[in-house]
Amino acid sequence: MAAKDKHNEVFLEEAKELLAELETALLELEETPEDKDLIGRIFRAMHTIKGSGAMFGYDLVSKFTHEIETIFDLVRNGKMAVSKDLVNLTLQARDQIKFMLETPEMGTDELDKNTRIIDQLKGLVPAGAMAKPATSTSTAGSSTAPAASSGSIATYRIFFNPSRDIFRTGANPVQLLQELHSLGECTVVAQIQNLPFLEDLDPESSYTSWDILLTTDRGLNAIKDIFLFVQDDSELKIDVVDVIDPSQQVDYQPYTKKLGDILLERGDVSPEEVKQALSAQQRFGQILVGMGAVGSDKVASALAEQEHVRDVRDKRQKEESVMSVRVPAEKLDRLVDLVGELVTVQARFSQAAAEKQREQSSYLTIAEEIERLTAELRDNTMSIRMLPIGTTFSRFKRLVRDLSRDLGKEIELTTEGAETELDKTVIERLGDPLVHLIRNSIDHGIEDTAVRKAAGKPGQGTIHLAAVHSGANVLIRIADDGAGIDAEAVRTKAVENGIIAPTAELPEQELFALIFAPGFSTAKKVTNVSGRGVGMDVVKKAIDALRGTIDISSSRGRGTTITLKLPLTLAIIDGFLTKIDTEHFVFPLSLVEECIELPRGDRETADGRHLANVRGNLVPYVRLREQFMISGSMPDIEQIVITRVSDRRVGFVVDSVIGGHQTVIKNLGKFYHEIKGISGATILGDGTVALILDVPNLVRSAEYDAANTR
Amino acid sequence: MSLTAIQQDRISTIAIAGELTISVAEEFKAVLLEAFRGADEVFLKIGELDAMDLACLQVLCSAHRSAVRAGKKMTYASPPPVLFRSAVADAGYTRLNECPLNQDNSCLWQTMG
Repeated sequence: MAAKDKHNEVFLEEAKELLAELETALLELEETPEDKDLIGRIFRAMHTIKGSGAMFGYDLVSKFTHEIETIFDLVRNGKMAVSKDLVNLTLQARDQIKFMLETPEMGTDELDKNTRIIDQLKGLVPAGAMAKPATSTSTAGSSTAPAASSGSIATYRIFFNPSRDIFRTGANPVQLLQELHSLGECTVVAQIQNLPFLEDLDPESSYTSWDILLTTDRGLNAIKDIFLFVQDDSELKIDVVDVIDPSQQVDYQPYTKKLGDILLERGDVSPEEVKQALSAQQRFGQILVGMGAVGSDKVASALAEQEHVRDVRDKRQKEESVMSVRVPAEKLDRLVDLVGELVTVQARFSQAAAEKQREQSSYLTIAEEIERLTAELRDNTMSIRMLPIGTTFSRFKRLVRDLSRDLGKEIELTTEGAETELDKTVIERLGDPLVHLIRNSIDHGIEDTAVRKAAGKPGQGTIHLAAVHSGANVLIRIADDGAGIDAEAVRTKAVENGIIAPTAELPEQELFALIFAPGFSTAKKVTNVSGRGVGMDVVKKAIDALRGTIDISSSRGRGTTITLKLPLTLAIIDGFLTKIDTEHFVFPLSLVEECIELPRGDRETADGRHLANVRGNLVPYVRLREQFMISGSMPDIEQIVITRVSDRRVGFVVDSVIGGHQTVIKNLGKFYHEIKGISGATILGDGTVALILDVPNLVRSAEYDAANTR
Repeated sequence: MSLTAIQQDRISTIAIAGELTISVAEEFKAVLLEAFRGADEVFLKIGELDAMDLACLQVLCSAHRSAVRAGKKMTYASPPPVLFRSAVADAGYTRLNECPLNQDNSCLWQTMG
């Protein structure tokens, strides 16, 4: 049962990927309706969902998908054109398939919806086009050979014996063989047992027949087409001997079909003859020839088949293994854990080596070597978890398409940097915040077509989604060419909601940041898209949880750009290690700008105002000793670590600064989940625990405290 | 097509060039039959070809089989040109490694070099 569940899970996982592929391909098809490759991709995705669905007991899914596939077969065969309606309905069908997979128990409403979609799709089929696929489907179904559908790669065994006077008809059998070569990998074995000796030979007759092995994804019909003009007078037999479905993630079984099996299958020998031959200890082919059971040419041909199929499979397997490696996320997580531990051990070793440096300098050399290796191992392992963000991007094409249609706006989504790689977890957790931001742009940002035209802008609005690497971070920009944020409206609303005081003077940047405050919305009307005042604060929280930051820039009438800055990975960061009394704290190095000293004298004259003068600029600071209620005596000179969060500089006072530290992030566990200001912990070289500071959160709570004590 | 046959000391040498297709197959057969009549060994000297088809391939193959049956030899005087080799390969003749009349490993298609 457990194994069955596991397989089911794998199927659902694959179906999810196929549905994503289906959606992407459909959206692309809308842009380029003539693209045959896209139609092929769509067809293959549906075909695999149908096949695997039936295998795992999702009969409804399988039946429904079959209907859609039948219609798409018409498109594939050029009997039906791609239209907007077809794409719309197929997208709806795709959503239904998704729903059916998620909800195996379907209500009658949903079943009706299925029927409606199929009926509507059938309504698009041009008259007379439908008869053909029904026939072809039933032919495929009744085939005795392993089913080789379009899209799957099949190896065919073709026996071709042209009529003796084929030369006189002007046909050239060798040319037909060359055409077969153009379909795929082809092994041709000529058979000349009918070739007479020279005196009896009629040079204008054909005596050669052929056993051909062809591996192709073009399907049976493509092969039959080649023999179209000679088939009436020739002997032609086509069998499928092997099928590889490229969309299936299969562990290829090694090709083990024995020579005897092939000869038996071809009807060249009887089972008894095989049995008899097997009892002798000679090479099997030789034995059969020796027995006179089969001609040596037949054996050669069967051997060629064995070799051909084996080669094709080997080659295919090699190609696949080069293309991608599928690793369960669980194993990867474990690998990352291990690397984390290794990094910790390395740190301990380095520390030990440093202490023994005087006696054993070689110790240090080893430590350096381990350090280099560990760093490489870390980078390599992390790269396995990296995925291109493009998969997330393609999801938004559908969102923009559907939402803009619902709102009657014309919006185009353009993307850039889809190949930018980010940690798998970051990508997964980024999806929802991005949806919120894009929805917001569609609803509040881009104006109605008429308004845009009146403002002298093109009627179609644009949302540009871009990703780019920037050091240890990835920047994701969502830029629209809409109305921009009304700073005054934000201000009024913030005052109304008591977020800021009526007299507060805030620069535009800080005003914009207020839209991320809980319960904030400037939308004049509530639509089903956005404007309920939930969302932007959720976005902020999600991005914070990813240790990222959000920046907004907006220009009235010209548009808004939201920039998310995200770390490449969540597992290891470059940290900045500090100490207060006996406790260690780690700052994410990416947020640290500089350190300055805070002598006892300055501390006393500051009069409790917590402001430091940094080259003429006042920088507010937070005393972490007070924040975390650490007792003990303060050193004469403390250090202020100055960080930059959302374009604001805030200092944090610690006793001493230790320096850069490769920080393996460990979760604090459920009990400590709610602690504000701490995002995790790490284990130091000597085995003690250092807490990793959640700097943006500390800044926010300090601001909150300051506002309340004012 | 240019086709010349010289016979000396029971050895025939046939020089072929140009177009080796069905239009000359009958003539080709006749030349080969004649070449074997007074010789025990036939050398094939295949020069630059413009074309080569299955009809002439069959003639050559059949001639070789007849020679083996009669205990005679038929071999290349020099390695055949590329066009000849590709015509043999395209017709699937290179895989005829189990011809029952190839007991002395003299098969024309296996000894192209």
